[in-house]
Amino acid sequence: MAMAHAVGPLPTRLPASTDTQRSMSDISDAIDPSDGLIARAIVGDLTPAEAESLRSWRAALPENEARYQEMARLAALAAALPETIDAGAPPTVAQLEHRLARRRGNRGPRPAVRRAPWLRWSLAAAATAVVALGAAALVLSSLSGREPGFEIQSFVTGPSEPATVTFRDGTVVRLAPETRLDVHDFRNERRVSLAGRGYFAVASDPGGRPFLIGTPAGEVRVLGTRFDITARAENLEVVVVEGRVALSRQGVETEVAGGQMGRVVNGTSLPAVAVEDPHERLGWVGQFLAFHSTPLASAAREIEHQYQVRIHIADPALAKRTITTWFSGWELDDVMAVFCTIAEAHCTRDGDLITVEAVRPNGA
Amino acid sequence: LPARLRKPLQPPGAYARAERLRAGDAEAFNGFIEEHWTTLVYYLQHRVRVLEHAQDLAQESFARLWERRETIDPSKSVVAYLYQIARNLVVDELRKLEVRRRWREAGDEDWPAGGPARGMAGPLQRVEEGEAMEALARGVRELSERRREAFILVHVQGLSYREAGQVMGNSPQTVANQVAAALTELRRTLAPHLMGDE
Repeated sequence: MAMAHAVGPLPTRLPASTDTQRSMSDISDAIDPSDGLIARAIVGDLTPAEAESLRSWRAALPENEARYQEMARLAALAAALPETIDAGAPPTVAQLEHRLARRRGNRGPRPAVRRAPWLRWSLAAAATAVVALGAAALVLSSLSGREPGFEIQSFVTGPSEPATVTFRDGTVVRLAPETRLDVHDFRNERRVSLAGRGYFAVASDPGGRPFLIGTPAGEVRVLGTRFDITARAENLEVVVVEGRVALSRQGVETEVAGGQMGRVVNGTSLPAVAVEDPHERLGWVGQFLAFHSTPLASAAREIEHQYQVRIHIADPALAKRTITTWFSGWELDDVMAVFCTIAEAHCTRDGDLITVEAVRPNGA
Repeated sequence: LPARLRKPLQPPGAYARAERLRAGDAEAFNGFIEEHWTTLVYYLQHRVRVLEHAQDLAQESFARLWERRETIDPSKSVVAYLYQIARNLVVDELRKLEVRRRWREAGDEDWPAGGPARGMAGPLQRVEEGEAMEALARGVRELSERRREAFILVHVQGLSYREAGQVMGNSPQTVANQVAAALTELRRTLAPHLMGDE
């Protein structure tokens, strides 16, 4: 059978790329639209409209159908390629541990260093990377619980762009512009200091270690929660979105619960007060969401607020499940794709209403 | 929302398994290694050519994933994370002069050669499939570096375009274009081997 390449046009064109900036590699990889559609069909990445277009195209000419079958066969064969090599026996966890231990033994103790200049450079490099990657999350650095306790790491943001810092315990911090975060100790306790503004999503610690944030106006002690904190000179303001924190100033401790604000003004602690909508105060974080064991119902409310849609969780049992993840600069459909994967749910949209339903056995 | 929202991004159970990996469940991790070992070695051999080197890098990739298991995000693909680690290791390795020299000097025999895959049933099918696999292995080898990597990540490892993009530092659309271009090129090269069953 001859491999006819020109096999009639597709009934519809491929949808435009969602990328706002297409790279040179896109252009150099310009492909026949039918091959592009077939390639995406093989991995199940078509919209219903595209699938219908492809069905019509395949039915239009026998050559089209043959071309589709050949590419599908090719893809099926590819899955077996690794079986053609002798990769040897896979290692076990015990062997990996041995390998790691040997390496640690050879390395010797790490010197205590102050790494602020390098981290400032890292900030610039990461900012460049996020431009290149489009909607990719900006992560300045990951901090290890295994680092020596006397090492200070500093994160400093510039005058205009917020940035995100992730810790290896799962804590995520969104830093506002012109903010400095110093990490003092992450082995024996979780201790940082903040000058400026940050939105913290603090992971609870299996060993019960609190997360301590020092500021010139007082200290904030956290046991797993999300909150917005502004620390400037002798003033401190904490708005708790979820969970509970203790705000202490000169031995006086004030508890601040979800939906409340605690303040220190000119060095004086004020009682916690209710905040009508904590999310209203989080506009500065931009397109950023962070959840830590957050019930899906609460997470859905925050997604609604940020993307101006309505989310209906049809099954009450689903609403109680929890979600732990974070998003920075993601589009709504990508956020919902992850949300629905975690919820193991079907998501459908009708206008501004997204319905989340439990997956029924056998697709019923 | 697009149709892909109705399709889970990860296979069922992936989230629970990722949580077990993050928690340091050695049994789950051993299972994960067994499942992905051969494919990762295959991917790495295409990057560094020498099989023993690929095996060593694969072992180091799993060791680093194990070491960093607390950073696993169960809502994201652990496999993509593993390949990101592996790819970074390759980049570091290729900076070394000695590795570049070995890479340049590697002969044809150092590439994955193809041939019948294990587990293929029936002698006739074995011969036909074996020839097709050899042709496919040759075709994959002749692809450009970027197309080859995208093709292996998506069609050999089974990553989504988004996950492969995460590994390669490209947009999903760019990966989709590279994979489609690779399939087009391979189909042209392998034409005689693809006509059999229709």
